[in-house]
Amino acid sequence: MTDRGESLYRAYLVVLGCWVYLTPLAIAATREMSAGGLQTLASPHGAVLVAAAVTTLLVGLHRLAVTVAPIHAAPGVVGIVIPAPLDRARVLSAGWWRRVAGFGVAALFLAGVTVAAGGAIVPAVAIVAAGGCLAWAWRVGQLGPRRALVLAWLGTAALTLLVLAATVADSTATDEASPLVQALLALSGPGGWLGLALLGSHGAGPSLPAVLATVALVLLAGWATFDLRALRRIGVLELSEHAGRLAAATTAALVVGNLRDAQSALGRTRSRGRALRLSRAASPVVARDRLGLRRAPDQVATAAVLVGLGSVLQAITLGHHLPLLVSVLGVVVTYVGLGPLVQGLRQHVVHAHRDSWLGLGHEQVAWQHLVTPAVVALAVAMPVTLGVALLGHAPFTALVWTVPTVLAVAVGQVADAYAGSLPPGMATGVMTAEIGDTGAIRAALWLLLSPLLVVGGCSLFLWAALVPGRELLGLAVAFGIIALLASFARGRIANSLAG
Amino acid sequence: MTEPNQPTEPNQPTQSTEDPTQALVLEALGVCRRIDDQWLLHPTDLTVAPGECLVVRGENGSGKSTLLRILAGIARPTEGEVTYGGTRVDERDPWCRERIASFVDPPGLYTDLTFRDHLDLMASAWRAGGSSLVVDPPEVALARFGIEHLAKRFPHEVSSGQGQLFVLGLAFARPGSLLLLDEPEQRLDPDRRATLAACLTERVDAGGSVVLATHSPDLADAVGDLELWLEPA
Repeated sequence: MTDRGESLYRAYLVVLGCWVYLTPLAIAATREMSAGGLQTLASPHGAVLVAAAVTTLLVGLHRLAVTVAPIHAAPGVVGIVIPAPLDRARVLSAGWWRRVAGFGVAALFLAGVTVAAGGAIVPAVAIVAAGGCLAWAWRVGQLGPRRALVLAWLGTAALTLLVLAATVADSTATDEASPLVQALLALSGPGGWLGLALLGSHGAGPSLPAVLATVALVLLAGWATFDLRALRRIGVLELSEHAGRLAAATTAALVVGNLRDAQSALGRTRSRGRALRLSRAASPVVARDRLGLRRAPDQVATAAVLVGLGSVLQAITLGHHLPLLVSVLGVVVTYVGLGPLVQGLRQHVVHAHRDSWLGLGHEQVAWQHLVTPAVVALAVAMPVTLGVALLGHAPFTALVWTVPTVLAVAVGQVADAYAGSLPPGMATGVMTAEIGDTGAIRAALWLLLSPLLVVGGCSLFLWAALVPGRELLGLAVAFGIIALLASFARGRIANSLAG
Repeated sequence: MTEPNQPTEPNQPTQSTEDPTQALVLEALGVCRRIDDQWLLHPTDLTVAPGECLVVRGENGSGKSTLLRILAGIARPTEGEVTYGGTRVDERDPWCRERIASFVDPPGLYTDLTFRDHLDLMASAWRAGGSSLVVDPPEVALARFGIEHLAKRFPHEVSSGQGQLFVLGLAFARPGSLLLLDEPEQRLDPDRRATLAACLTERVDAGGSVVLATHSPDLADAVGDLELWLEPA
């Protein structure tokens, strides 16, 4: 099959998948959205949440550009075609337009759902244009210039506020909106994008600012897509580095089934904090990790936010007798939050089969790599839980449950880091009469085994925590589960070193 | 059964020293490695006494790296046994780690530590392990190969040759009465190869033992007391 034919076939598969599986779900969800829900979305709390989501999306795309650059080429192209005296923008533009097309397909899908749900054309066009702008934000993260990033961020922030205002405009109880939103109403007028899109109440027609903003968005997306000058600024060394890292990550993830190696291949290299030195600590490995985190304050901040959020969810479950699921969600968030803190462990695992120049045993070093992340996580989780308790949203006993949760999550990180490659048997499809091929499910369960065990184990003792009078039983269960997780992790370490 | 690989020259008499860690002899008897009927290393015998340097040579695929991994206790031989000072070598044994400095594979460096940090960390780890042996200070370790100006560089900020010089700096800074190196001359310019040869000679003259795999006849001639030629596996 030719490259063009292969591309068309892939596009066909994506469209078919969206049409068969996602469209009915999306339309159903859209029609369930009530005016009350939109009102909530446009309230001050909703505005903060939406703004946070948009900012997270932009920051995420910007950071993604460092690890997975939108402009890259296959190693063969980098080695043979790129050094030729061709217009580099022409060589690289095909890949760039494929990335834009990826965002475009997703945006077209959302726009299609919007129209199908009774929305108007203007919001549908705006959604497609926003998709192009997001692709541009990704590219700006790799190639700059910084002023473009600022423009993208400011523009997106303004558009978010406009959308929020339009949302309120289409709901009935506008008098209850906050002064800020009321002020924005004057700008957007009735019939803004989100209201039009979700409610179809476009009797008044779109406001002039909404139409102008949409036109501006379309022009920006068009200019960003077809302006290829930035592609000429990219150097062959950068292309070579991205090609090598992507090839290594793809091999690790798809061929070997080792997501940890894939993560390492895509990991960022840093040059920050060069003057910092190892400080005194009980263990040299602890000192190493402390230095690593001092050189990665952004990772520490990300971890602190996630661990803090997980602690809040766990604490308020106890305070407000919320369903156990909320507490379990807190464990999941804490597990994800510890990820950025265990980079020392991840690097150690990659070198497990190499000579130990430290003069320490591999397993010994692996466990010592947990000390710093666990201490940092507890240093965040305990004050946050105490704060929630002082505000009256949780009992002070919530502090007791923070410790086993963090310990279980930390031990689970060791087991996860030493998972190694997907066993060959897992990659083989197994047909069943009921649900067909279960190979993918089994592989996914194997890859997620450590977090699933942690979440399942924590659920048991957090369930006991919710029942008055069972606290001691819960604590006994908690430390029993931590011991079992540690035993599981030791088994994986032994397998890894033996292999 | 294939004839065992053996050193082509008899062992040389060694200087006796009072340091107990230097009175150790490395012995391998009939060590081999195979997977099913595929030989990675034919049966090999060798003995390296203190103050000796054994140069392992052979074509690509003859099993040089495999032999060094077995000597380091990182890999298990299919048959045969390796002892150092009468103790079976095993990388998991702290006694072995304190005495055998092996740099067979590229060592795992931390991407978020500078070269100086790595040397500080190694010194700190050795102190924490209760060893009476002392890691060379960073300044000495880096100056040995003329890379003191790279002290504040991260591993991804140097050339491949500079990276190799740093690995050698780590290898020679680390205490140990037996040093195992696999093709240490890789990516080095002629001047740096001469520096490497001088460092190896100094090490051996001080009573240390060295096992070195190399494709460089010049390096082999400069430092080797013994030569072991491995037949293709």
